[in-house]
Amino acid sequence: MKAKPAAGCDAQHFQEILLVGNPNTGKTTLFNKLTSSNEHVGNWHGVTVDVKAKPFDCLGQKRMLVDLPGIYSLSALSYEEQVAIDYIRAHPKTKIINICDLNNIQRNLALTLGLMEFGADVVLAVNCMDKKPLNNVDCKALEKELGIAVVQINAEKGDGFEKLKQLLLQPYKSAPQPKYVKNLNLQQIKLSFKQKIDDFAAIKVIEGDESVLKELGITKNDFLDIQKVAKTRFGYIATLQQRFIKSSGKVYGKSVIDKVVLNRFLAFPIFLLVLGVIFYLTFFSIGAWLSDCLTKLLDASVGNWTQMACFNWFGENSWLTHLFCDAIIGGVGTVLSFLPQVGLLFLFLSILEDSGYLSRVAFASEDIFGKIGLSGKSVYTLLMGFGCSTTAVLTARNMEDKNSKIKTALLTPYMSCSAKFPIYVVIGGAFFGASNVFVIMGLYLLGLVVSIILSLFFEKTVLKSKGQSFILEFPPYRYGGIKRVIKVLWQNIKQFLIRVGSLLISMNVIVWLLANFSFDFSYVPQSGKTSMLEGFGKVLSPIFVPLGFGSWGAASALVAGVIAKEVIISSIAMFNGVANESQIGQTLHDDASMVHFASPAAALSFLVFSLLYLPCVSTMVVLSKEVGKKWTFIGIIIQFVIGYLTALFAFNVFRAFEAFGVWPVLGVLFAFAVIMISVFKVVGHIKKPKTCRGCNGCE
Amino acid sequence: MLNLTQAKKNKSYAVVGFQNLPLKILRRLCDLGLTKGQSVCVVSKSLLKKALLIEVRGYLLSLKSDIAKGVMLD
Repeated sequence: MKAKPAAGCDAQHFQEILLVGNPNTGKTTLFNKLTSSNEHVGNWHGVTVDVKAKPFDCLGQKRMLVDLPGIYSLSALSYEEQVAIDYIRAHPKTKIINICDLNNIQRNLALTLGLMEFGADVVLAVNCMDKKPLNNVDCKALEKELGIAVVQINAEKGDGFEKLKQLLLQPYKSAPQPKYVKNLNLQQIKLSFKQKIDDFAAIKVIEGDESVLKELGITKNDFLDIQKVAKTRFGYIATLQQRFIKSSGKVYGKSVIDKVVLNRFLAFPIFLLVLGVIFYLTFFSIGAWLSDCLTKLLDASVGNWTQMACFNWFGENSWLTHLFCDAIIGGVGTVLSFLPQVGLLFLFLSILEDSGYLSRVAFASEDIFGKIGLSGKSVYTLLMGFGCSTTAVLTARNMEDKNSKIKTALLTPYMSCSAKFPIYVVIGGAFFGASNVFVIMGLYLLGLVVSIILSLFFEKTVLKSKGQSFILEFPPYRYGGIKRVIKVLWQNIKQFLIRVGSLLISMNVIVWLLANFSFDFSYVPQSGKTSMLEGFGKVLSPIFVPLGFGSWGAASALVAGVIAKEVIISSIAMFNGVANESQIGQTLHDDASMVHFASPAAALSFLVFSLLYLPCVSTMVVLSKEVGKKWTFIGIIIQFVIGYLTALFAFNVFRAFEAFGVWPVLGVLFAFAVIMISVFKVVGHIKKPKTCRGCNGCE
Repeated sequence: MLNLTQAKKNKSYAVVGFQNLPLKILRRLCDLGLTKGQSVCVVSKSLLKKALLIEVRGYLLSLKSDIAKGVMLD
């Protein structure tokens, strides 16, 4: 049994306290409150996918609080559950805070009993975050019955923390075995083994837990009876409920809204409408207006001031003046102007995540996603991919089937992440004007369509989903309140500014230096020599000639964009020597600009290629960790080929539109699609083994 | 006897057994409180009926129809 050390554990070895509970019970909320952290929380099954640790002050003594992914029992179904269970089992003499949701305590207590069977020192923290909870529990009586400490808390507000901390400082004491254990006749199982095994291992033998059976070296299990243990546990919980829990009788998670939201025919259209409203508000309405205001503000204040200061300090023609004006004001300023839109997008995604609506979407999407070899749960990962691919890839961990997890992770970079949006606005706006709304919508859809087709291809070939189950608990609808909205908005703005201030500035400075200095380090505008970037770019640019944008500037921007997609547009701004998005638009038509597009077809091809060509470096690193080097490499190659071919297709079809009109070209494409589908059908029919009546087919 | 996918909406049934379910899935259903004798009620079905939403032990649980087929009811 190997357990990874918790992220955040440093050289200081404080006594550890594990935070264990069912998914979505408020573990990370409690972790954040106790350790003053800002870990990601959400109203979704499996937001926490890794072990996180941070020291906290426990009434004057330091303790290390370890936040574990949510589990339902000490037997895992998915990777992130295995991580949590391995950690618990590798730390048997560690105090555990078992957090239970008061509204769903009957189901949550099954894990508490499982932890008691394991013999851990359990402090049961009953979390009540609602004003009108569905249940009321008599903590004192429950504590007496179970023989473990029970305390009611509010993880959000900090109620009950004083008592919880006092309990955590008590000396370690193993929980007593639950009363029903003696009825499970474990003695018979224990006697059948040569080695001494404890009650926990014997129970796991009855449950057929693969890891315990492996440890005990059992290949044939005669004691398997999962129902026996479950019925006994839940039978005991029923008596606990009768004696100590007052229930309102209402169903946890049930809401009248679901009558509409989960309507068989309305569920998916409603989801598309919600997405449409989010994108409209973010990109074309409030977001666009705020972005415009910020651009004007930046130009009028910081831009002009820095330019004047550089002129005064370094002189008008100094390379340092150009470095500051082009790389920082021009490059970074262009990306910075999208801050309101990026902030709004993350805010809306976060509201969706907090609301509990995503579980409903996952349910409604199971029909489609199940057919293409994914799961409704993939919706969460793909939707988070509209924000940031890197963090979205990590969420694929809650998929139970390895192949479904690999597929979901590999498909995430095809989504239009927030960093790609500035490229669509600037380049699309320059060539398609008011129609750019449809181009942007088309690009978002294209990412989805390509990922669906690719998933189907994987499902039919090398990545068949074998055991992807769709078992998902429905959380209640929640609204985090205005405080939460402001907090999320601020966190995202801060992260964006840190990213712009660190990665983007340094990348822009590097790209600018490469674009303005030759291999013998002479300043290109003065020496007239070929810059380093031009040298590299000219080697690469022929590859992009068939796509319609074979300039070295465009090639270099795409290469730099692999570090971070924002760098594409900031590099173009730098290369063309402009400071805001409207100025970039004008230079893109100008043949004299380093980056220019000869036609709208070439611009569209560039947009399609930018959407699909490669994931950014940080996504590649996370992919490699999550799905392995082999699949990351294969995924990158496939992505590049798909990006290239789709851009080539878009370029030539758009040119055909311009030459022959839209309808004749669409007619030809439709006819071609019909012929291809017919050919595939015929080939499939010929390949199918012939069967006669009453026969199962010839050998 | 019928399976969960054949159950009528908003009608309570008792779980009588499980058929052809992988061990891990069966164990998970048990962890979630789907045990023999437990009453369940189908609340909603997705458009193509590939997923079901059921009410069990006072909360809502969605299941893939492939799994639901293995839950036998009476």
